[in-house]
Order: sequence, then structure tokens, then C-alpha cells
Amino acid sequence: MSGARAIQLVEAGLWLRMSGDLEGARRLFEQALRLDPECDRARELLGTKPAAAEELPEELQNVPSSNTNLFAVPLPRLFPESMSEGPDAPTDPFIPLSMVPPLAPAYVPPPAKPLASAPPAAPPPRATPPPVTPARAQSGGTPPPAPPPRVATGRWTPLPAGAPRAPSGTGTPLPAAAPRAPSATPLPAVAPRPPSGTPLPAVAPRAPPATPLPAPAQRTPSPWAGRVPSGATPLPAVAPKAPSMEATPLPAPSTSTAAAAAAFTLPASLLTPAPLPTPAVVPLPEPASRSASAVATGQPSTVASDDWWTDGDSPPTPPKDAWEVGRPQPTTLPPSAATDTDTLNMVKPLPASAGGTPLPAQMPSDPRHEARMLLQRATELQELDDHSGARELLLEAQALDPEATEIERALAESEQTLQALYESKLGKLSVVPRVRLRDDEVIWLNLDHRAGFILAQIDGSLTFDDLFSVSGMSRLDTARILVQLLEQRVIVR
Amino acid sequence: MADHEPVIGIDLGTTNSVVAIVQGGQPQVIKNRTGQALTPSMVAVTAGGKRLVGHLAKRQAITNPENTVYASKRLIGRKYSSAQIQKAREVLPYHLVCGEHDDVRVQLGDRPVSLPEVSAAVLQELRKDAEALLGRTVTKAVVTVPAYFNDGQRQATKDAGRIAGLDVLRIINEPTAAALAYGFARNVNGKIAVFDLGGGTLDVSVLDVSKGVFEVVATGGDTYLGGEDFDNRIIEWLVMAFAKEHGVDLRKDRMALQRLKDAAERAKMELSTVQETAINLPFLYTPTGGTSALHLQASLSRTKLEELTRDLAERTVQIAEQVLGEAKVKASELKEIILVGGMTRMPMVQALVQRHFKEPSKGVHPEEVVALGAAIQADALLRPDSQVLLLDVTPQSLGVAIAGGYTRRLIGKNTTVPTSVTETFHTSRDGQTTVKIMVLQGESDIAHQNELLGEFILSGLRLAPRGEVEIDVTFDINAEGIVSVSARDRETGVQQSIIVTASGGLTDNELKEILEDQEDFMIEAHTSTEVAFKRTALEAAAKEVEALMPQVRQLAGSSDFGRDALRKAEGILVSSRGALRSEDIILLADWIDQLEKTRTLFVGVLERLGAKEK
Repeated sequence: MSGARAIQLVEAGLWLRMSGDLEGARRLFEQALRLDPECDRARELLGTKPAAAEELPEELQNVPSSNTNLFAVPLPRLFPESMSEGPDAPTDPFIPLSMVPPLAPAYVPPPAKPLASAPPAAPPPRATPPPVTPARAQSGGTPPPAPPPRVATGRWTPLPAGAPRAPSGTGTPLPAAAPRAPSATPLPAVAPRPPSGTPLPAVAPRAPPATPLPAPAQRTPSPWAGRVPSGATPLPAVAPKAPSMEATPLPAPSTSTAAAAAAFTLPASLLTPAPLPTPAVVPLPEPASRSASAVATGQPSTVASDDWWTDGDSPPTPPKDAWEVGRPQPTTLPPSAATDTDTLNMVKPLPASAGGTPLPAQMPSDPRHEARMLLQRATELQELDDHSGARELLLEAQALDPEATEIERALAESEQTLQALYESKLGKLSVVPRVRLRDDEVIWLNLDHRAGFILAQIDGSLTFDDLFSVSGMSRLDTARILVQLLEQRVIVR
Repeated sequence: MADHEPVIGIDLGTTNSVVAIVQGGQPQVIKNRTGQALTPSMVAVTAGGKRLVGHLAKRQAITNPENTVYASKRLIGRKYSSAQIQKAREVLPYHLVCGEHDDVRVQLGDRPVSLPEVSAAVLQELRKDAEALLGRTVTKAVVTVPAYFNDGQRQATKDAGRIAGLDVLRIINEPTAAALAYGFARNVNGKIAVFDLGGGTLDVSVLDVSKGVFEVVATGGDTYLGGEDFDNRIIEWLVMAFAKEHGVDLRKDRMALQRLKDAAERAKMELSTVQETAINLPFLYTPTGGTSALHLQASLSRTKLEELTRDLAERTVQIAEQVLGEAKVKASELKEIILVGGMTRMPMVQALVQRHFKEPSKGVHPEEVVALGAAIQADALLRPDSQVLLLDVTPQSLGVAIAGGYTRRLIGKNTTVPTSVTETFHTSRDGQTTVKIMVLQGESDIAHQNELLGEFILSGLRLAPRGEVEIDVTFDINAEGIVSVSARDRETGVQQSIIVTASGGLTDNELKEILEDQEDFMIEAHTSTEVAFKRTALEAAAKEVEALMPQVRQLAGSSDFGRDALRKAEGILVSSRGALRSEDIILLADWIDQLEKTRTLFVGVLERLGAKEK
């Protein structure tokens, strides 16, 4: 898994390098090497220097460079004119992989001059595949079910582990993830307003995340506040038309390139109005076979959101989900679409452990590594306000690596947040709750022994605070059970 | 002492404690904050470090056994090396540790706590209840102890009072207090028996009441026989039935056991007035494997309860008969039998007492009678003209060790104090020039079986054959219970003496430190109350501001000023809600102030703009 991830980081780094972000590319290569020390490609790229600016092809010399506007400029032609003519010439602007020569000799250095493109407009929203019902989601009604896992190449954020599931009687899931409402024009997203009426600070414009944001439930300061990296730059739109948020089907590949269906294509709407010249740089393809295996196993093919950029110290330069910009709905390819020759062709063949092969059947058995992976996922969930799911992952991580202080810290953070949430739902802790149901009604509830114990202590003399003292459980668990009993109207304030 | 200063009477029981006071000439029990007369004598420390006393401690006694101290009365004032403490260590769930002076400490949380401190927590709780009723500070009390308590145990109880901020004016025996409550000081002359079956102990005492003087003729009992043993029989019955049906041993589950214990006690109490009662415990236990939680529903009859506990009840009567035998009193000679303790409400126990002895007196609640008697004594101390004033007595005999390892008793137990006794001794061997005087307390004829209170040496005796040199040994006990022993060579007049002060196990310095710690705790308790108050005020202020915001937005939201004000108000609301979790009183007060200013501003804006619109 680390090898596959390293490959993706290398690919992303190459992309950054081509767009002129040498520093970002270097960091990604370093990260890939850290993840997979045997990744020769990353080592090689770290050792190589980009070709000098005077070696820039003529097509690129007048093209301004931009770290963010990846698609605002026509991509230069990589291949001789002869290839573009003839019956087999590809009709769409992007060249199938089978025709892509090895990258190393044909590597195009970043242009020295800034690209003379249209000024970046508002960021194009990602084409979010799942249809949403924004009104319901925003008003706090029953949210639609969470979208299915996406086939991913770049950054992919797995569904929160704490996403809505059948209540087990021992936990109250947090409100289901509420997808963001689509908007006609991209604008700075304002986080949904909590029921208390206290508006959360506006979030700086950024691309919508891969996973819909959960509705924040009854808390005051938003964790979003201050979390937007200062260097975040909105994704530029492809001027002048703002694309629709709805799913845009991929254009069907031409029959001549059907065999090389791993080609990465962009929807035509993103490329209007100017016709694109023949690209000189081919966007990196989606490793279909790997993605297919990821879908089959349910495992994410990439990891965290932030590990693209740096070790976390500097703000991202290209947007986090650059891979996702303009990305259409994932397409399942026909079985015959991908062949062995359609994979990325590297200078040196990668060792089996690092190459573009499906995930190994057995994960490395390093518990600390697993714990770190769980911590990363939990951190993502925390950013999405799913502290319940994050806590579950962190408990697993803590079991694998009990001495990791960062896990302990993250766990404490989630638990504190959850506790505050539950206690806010209880209201004043000096209130004495009472049981609303009769004994013969109580017995028909679906409670476990812990809820039964707490219920037994509620006799009209103990306050919520007293119940925390006598419950024999952690404050968090006690609060959760009390909230559950309140919400089920078993007890009243 | 000031006439208006109240003095409370406290029954500091093994399982439950009660506080009472005489008001309007009538003794009455002071109910605690939960509205009950009895406060469990339990102290606990939660995982979060919070101290629980009384009912709250009892509610989690089984789920938090290592940090819940109960029945500390069985241990207070004893040496760690004593047999009773070693026996207790085997059965108690909390940890006993040895103090610096062979005194007993309890490991509560992260620190060892002395037993007087534990008792002090209970006394403090009772004191607060009294102050809540009376509306004033209470600093004086009369506290009861079992008749068999020695000086060390009584002193430890006094130390507990001091730690709790109470000046313990008098320590009186529990059976005596019970007799006082029945008014027997005035209208009874003769022998009365006090049958005290409480939550954890059985104490049977025979008193000889004569002209207002109560003399404890005999006392006995079982410090490990009480109402809890009856509860345990019910629990076992329920556990066995549940195991038979579900194959689960509920005793291994602490939550289940806690609920069973509470339910068993309730059922036992109910069966004193009804013939049958239902025990209903829904969601008692969740089996492994994720299946639904199991319920327990049972019906217990009085007959079944009697069947389960008959042997315990009969044992209490057997012990009572032994005590009467020691007092050389027949049941027919008893003027009265007083029932003390909640367990004496059980019809079976009452029937047994009646059958073996005589019809017991039932005019006073058995759980409250000792505290009421203590309150009567406390009231008598306030009024010099009171006709009811108990004389203190020595609870145990005092003597010296003599040659051969025997004890010579100079002052017998139950001797009223102050008192002074002198006896002449002589040397035991030829040429003896030094004698060692060992002061003993206890009833045994064998010296080493009694408790050594102190010793000293008288030297410089004349060299003479054994028996020729005579030495006068004098025991003096003053009204405060301080024993001084002196030895004087009759021939030369050379004298030596010591003062024996009962020790409760704490040194003066330790006691001082504990008192200082208690002060900090009191300040902390007050601070917690203040924090809760501030939080409530902050929440209320925030709600007021929130309620005004929609109107302000409507009237002024379109103006720069309005937008700015609303933005600032929103920021204050967010920050103030974040401060709710703080325990900093100053911070909370600051945010309350900010909210108040915001509210005032909004009110002004609304008034102004509202008037303008009109």
C-alpha cells in the first residue's frame, strides 16, 4: 500500500513540476521516498534537475506559468505533427497512454515565464458525482445517505467510519454527513449555521472536499475556524463559464483508443470556449486496474488529504484536490480496457513492492504503521467533524500503539468535543431528570445494561452532575447514554 | 458558652449517621439535602478525583469499591497491627495502609487518608445539613460512640469532630443516648437493655439507671453482624435464581451487583410493612455476543425473607442472652428493652426479642433514637439547670502490670469521672532499687492482653529484701478523661509520674495539617458553588442577547453600525459559550459583563429605532 501511495505521490509531483512548482514537487518526491524507501523513481527525480529553461519547447516559451491554473492554458504538443494526422490520430486532445513515450526523455521543464492566461476566476467547483438535495440538507432535515466510495486516483477521503449506521444501542451516531448545496457560481463557502444561531466564521474559498461535510451539531466555535490554510488558493475556473456541479458524464473515448481506455479525459465543458491545441503534456492517467481493486476491496487507494503537499509545515500551493478539478464521475472501465502495456511506463521498472500493482493481499503487519494509518484517517474525520468515527479509529490505533502520544492527544480532542456536544444537549447539569415511562413501558425499550444502570439511578433525587459521579463509567459514556435516553424520551428534564 | 449557640447531637453510625437538635424543647432529626433522615457513613473518591459523601458514595460503592470507604467505625482508633485491623484487611475492598505511628490509613485515590478524616467527611456533611436548617454556623456537637469504645477510639472520634470544624463537647455511649431519648433518666430506676441492630453491627448493652446516672453494666455484640448481612442473603437468592435461568453469575458484574444490593435493601425494608414485594431490574445484564440485555423480575415474600435470614436473627438473640448473662441480669428483671437500629423494624427480629426477653419499647424511631438522645444531652449542656446530665464514665478498667505478668486493676470500668484511686505495692525481689510502672487499660487479668497506655520508672529505692520497700501508685482521672499515674516511695518520698493522653492515632502536627487541608477543601467547595452560579448567570445573559438579535438585525441590520454591532455580539456569544467550560470565576464574570453591555446596547438600539419608526 505504501508503494502504491508513493507512486501516486511521484505522479503528483511530476504534475507539480510541470506546472512550475518545483518546491512542491520536491516535497512530494521526498514524501514518496519516505513512504517507500525503495521507490527508485522518487530517488531519481530528487536527484535530477529540471531541464534548463532554454530547453523549453517553443510552444511553452510564451505560456505563462501558474501554480494553480492547471487547465487554463492550452497544453503544448508533445508529439510531432505527423502523429496528429492520419487515420489513427486521436481526435480528442489528450493522447492515449499507449502513445506516450517514456516521460524521462520527453520531460518538459516548467516554463520560465508566467503563463499569459486569463486571470483566474472563481474556482470551478468539483463535479461532485452524488446528486444532492441541498434544501433538505441545509435545513437540518433528514440528510440523504452518504455517497458511495469513489474510485480515486489522487486524493481520496474515505467515508467517515462514523457515518450513519444502525444504532447498536450503545451509541448515538452523530448526524449523517450533509452534502454541501450546489451553487451556480462558486463563492466563498459559508459553513452551515448551527442551531444556536451563532454563525461560524466564513471559510475561505476552497474546493469542496471529496466527502460531503457533516452538519455541525450544536456547538459554538467551529473547528473550521482558523483551519483554512492561509495559502489556500481557490481553484481557478476555466473562464468564462462556470461549470455545473452536477455529474458530467465522460465523453466516450474514440474507438481507436478504446483499447487504451485508461486515458484521462476532461469533460468538454471545462475546455470551452477555446479549442485546445494538441497537448504537449499528457495528464497522468488513472490507474484503472488499481482503482478497480480499490473499489472491490473497499480500501482507499490513497491516504490522507494533506500529505500531498508537505510534511504539514507549509501551506499547499496547488489546491489539495488538484486531481479532482474537473474530475467527472468515475467510470468503470470494461475489463478489456486496460492491459499491461497501458500502465505508466517508468524509466526503470519499479520493484514489485512499489510498482503499480494491486494492493498486496496481506498488509504489512507493523502495528505502529497501522496505528499511524488509523491516526491519519481519524484526523481526516476530525476535520470533517466526525469525532464519533474518529474516536473509534483512535481507540483502535491506541490498542495497536498504546504509547503514541499523538494518538492520545487526538483521542482526547475527540472525546472532549464529543463530551461538550453531549453535555450541551443535556443542558444544565444541575437539573434533576426523571423517568417518563412506567416500569412496564421501560422494559420494552432497547437498552443495554449500562443504560439500564443509569436509568436505575434516576429516581428524582440525583442531578445530571450526580449521575456522572455514580455511573461508574466515563463521563463521555455517561453523557452519551443520557442524551440517548433524552432523545428517546425515556427521561425528561 | 453563648445561650443562643446551637449544639447538635450526632449519631455517627457504622452504616448510617443521623444529626438532631432540640428546638422548642423537642428533639428533632435534621433531614439531609435529599430529604432523608439517614446519611450513609460512606466516603468515596471518583476516578475524576471528586469526593462523594453519603448517598452519592453509597450509590457507587460497588462500582468503585477500591475508592469507597465504608464502616470505618470498625477501624477507627485501632492500631494497624491489631487483630481486628488484620482481619478487616482480608475482607475490605479498599486498601488499608500503616501510618507512621502504627495507626491505620486508607488509600483513597492517590493519598493515604486517616480514619478520623474519613469520619470527619461524614460529620462535615451532617454539619452542613444542620447549618442549612438553622441558617447559621454550627461549631459544637455531642457525638455518640459504642459503649465498648476505648479511649483511643473515643479520642479519634473527637479528632474527627475537630477536623470537621466541630468542638465535640461530649462523647456519650450510644445505649445511654437511646435511653435518654426515651426519657428514662427521669422515670426509670433499674436495669434496661439496649438492643442495637444496625446496618453493620450488633450492640447489646445493659444499663443500670439510678437517679439520672447511667451505668453500663455490660456490653457485647458482633461488629460484623448487621442489616447488610440480611441484604446479602437476598442478593444470593436473586443471583442463584438468575444463574439458574440464564447461566450468568451476576456477582461478577459490578453494575449488576450494585443494582442488586440497592434492590435487596429496598425489598427488605418494604417487607417490614407488606407481605410481598416485587423486585424489578430491567436491563440488568448484557450477555456477550450482542444479544439483548436481560431483565430480572422476582417476587419476594416476607416468609421467604424470614426463611433466608432466620439464622442471622437468632444469632442476634443469642448474643443478647450472653450479654444479659454477663450482667447477671435475667430478662424478667429488665425494666425496659429499647430497640435501636433500622433492622429492629423487621417483624421477625421484634418477635424474637419479645419472645426471649420482653415487649420492647417502640415509641421512638429506632434509626433516630440515638441521635435524639445525643441532642437531648447537647441541650442539657447548654442549660446549667438541666436535670438531665450524664456523667462520663471510664469505659474500661485501668490498672498496672505486676510481677508474674498479671494486671492489678485500680479503676474499674464505668467508674464515673473525675476519680482518684491509690494503692500500695512493694518490691518483688531482693535488692530491687528500680520499679517499672506499666499503665494498662482493659479487662483481662493477663497484662499483655490489655492495652498499654504508658510506662515509667521509679528509681533510687533503698536496697532491701523483697517486700520491704513500699510504693504508692495513684491513678487520677479528670473530667476530660486525662489519666495521670504517679508512683511514690513511701519511705523516701521520691515520686515519678506520667500523664496518659488517649491517642486517636494522629499526632498534633498531623492533626494540624489535616485541619489546614480541610480549610483548603472548604474554600474549594465554595469556589465550585460560585463557579456554578456564574455559569448559570452567563448562560442566562447569553440567551437574553440571542433573543434580542433578530430584532436588532431587522431594525438595524442594514446599517454599518448595526452590522458591526451584530458581528461583535456574535463574537461575544461564541467566546462566552466557550468560557462556560472554564472554572475561572473572573473569566466567567468578565464574559457576563460583556454580555450585559451587549444587552444594554441592543435594548437601547431597539428603543431608539423602535421609537423612530413610530
